Amino acid sequence: MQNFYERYKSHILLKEIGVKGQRRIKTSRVLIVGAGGLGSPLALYLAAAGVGNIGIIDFDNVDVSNLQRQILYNDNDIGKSKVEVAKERIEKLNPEIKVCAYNEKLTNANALEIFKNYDIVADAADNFQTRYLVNDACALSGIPDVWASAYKFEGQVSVFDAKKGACYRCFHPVAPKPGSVPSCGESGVIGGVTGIIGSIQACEVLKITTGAGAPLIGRLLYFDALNTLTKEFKIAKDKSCSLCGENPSITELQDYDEFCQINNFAENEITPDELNIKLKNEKNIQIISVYEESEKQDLVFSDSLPVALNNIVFLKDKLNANVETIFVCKYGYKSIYAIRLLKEAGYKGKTYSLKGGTDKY
Amino acid sequence: MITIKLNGKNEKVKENFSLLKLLEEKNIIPETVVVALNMNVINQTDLHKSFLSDGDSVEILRFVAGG
Repeated sequence: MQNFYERYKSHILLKEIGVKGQRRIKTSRVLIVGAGGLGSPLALYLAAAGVGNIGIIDFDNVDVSNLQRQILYNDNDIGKSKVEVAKERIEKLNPEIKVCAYNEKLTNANALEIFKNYDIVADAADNFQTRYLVNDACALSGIPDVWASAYKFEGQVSVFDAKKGACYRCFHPVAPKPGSVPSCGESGVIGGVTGIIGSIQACEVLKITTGAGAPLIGRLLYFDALNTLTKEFKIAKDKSCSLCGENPSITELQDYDEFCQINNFAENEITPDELNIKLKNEKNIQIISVYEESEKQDLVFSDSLPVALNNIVFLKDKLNANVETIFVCKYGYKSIYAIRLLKEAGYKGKTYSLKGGTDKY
Repeated sequence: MITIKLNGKNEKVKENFSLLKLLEEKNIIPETVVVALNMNVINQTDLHKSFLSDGDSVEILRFVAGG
């Protein structure tokens, strides 16, 4: 007990926390979804703060490109399971806490079962399927979703507590199509931003646990590191929300890949090997390199035509519909989206998207 | 024409202009952004019926999932 007072002295000194609040922190149970850029500072601060039971779920291994911002890991961890390394690291930081590492993907089959063991979920995932899954599973379990995301120099944080305010679906009921929004891996992100935003998430978790202050319920905090400014927006609860409204239609978890249309255009994909065979055997092939206007352009296919996603529909009248067209982009999502846009515009020619993008080519 | 502030910059738009029209004009796909009118986030499904008035401030943020 002596150690308790010494270790958490700086928390106990805060009148909003005190001994009572610190005891609550000690018995609290927090699940972190995603052990990446946001999950790293989150896990470190929650462990240091003495959160008694921390769960971390992620199925990824540490990659060298993670180290620029994912401060849980070091050079020797490359190739190892993220959650295993994370568990070891934060248990060393604070041996008094219990850490449960879930080296698996969060799915509609395991989410409710896992969430049952936690009071708060902090969403630090990197894709929309998981974002909607966490939101829905939190609302159905009656626990708050401390949500954040980071992109380039920007971060956003909110608390979706369906019992007290808006949920994710209250303002964004329709998921973006695959490829229409770039990921951190595609667009880049500065390490400090994930650090700041993940730390705000950790603070929100501790506030909710101890009852201190006013959590970000019904509010969206936006941080712009490039101009060093913050903005705050209100998010109203939607009475007709399909999840937390007056007559909800969502009463169980959904198929989130379907909701986010992940598999819609699978039949249009071509593997790198198949593409190489095509390039060898057919002379008449058009290659379009799809890019985001803000994205750096590296033309992997030097004879391809670079086209910004915003201008894809203009290709409808430029392309020769009698010749096969291959769409390529860095990770193979934007190219799928480009085909979708083009087909919606009425293009009838044969199209393929390079599976896995130029990254895997 | 009326004047609004779009992400902090003055911008002239037609009268009776909806947020959805504004996104269309800017070539922005509605589902990829979060739109706030006078600091209130507008539900994605209400963009077509949210009309702009002179002096309104509109913020368009990226809707992102990165972590």
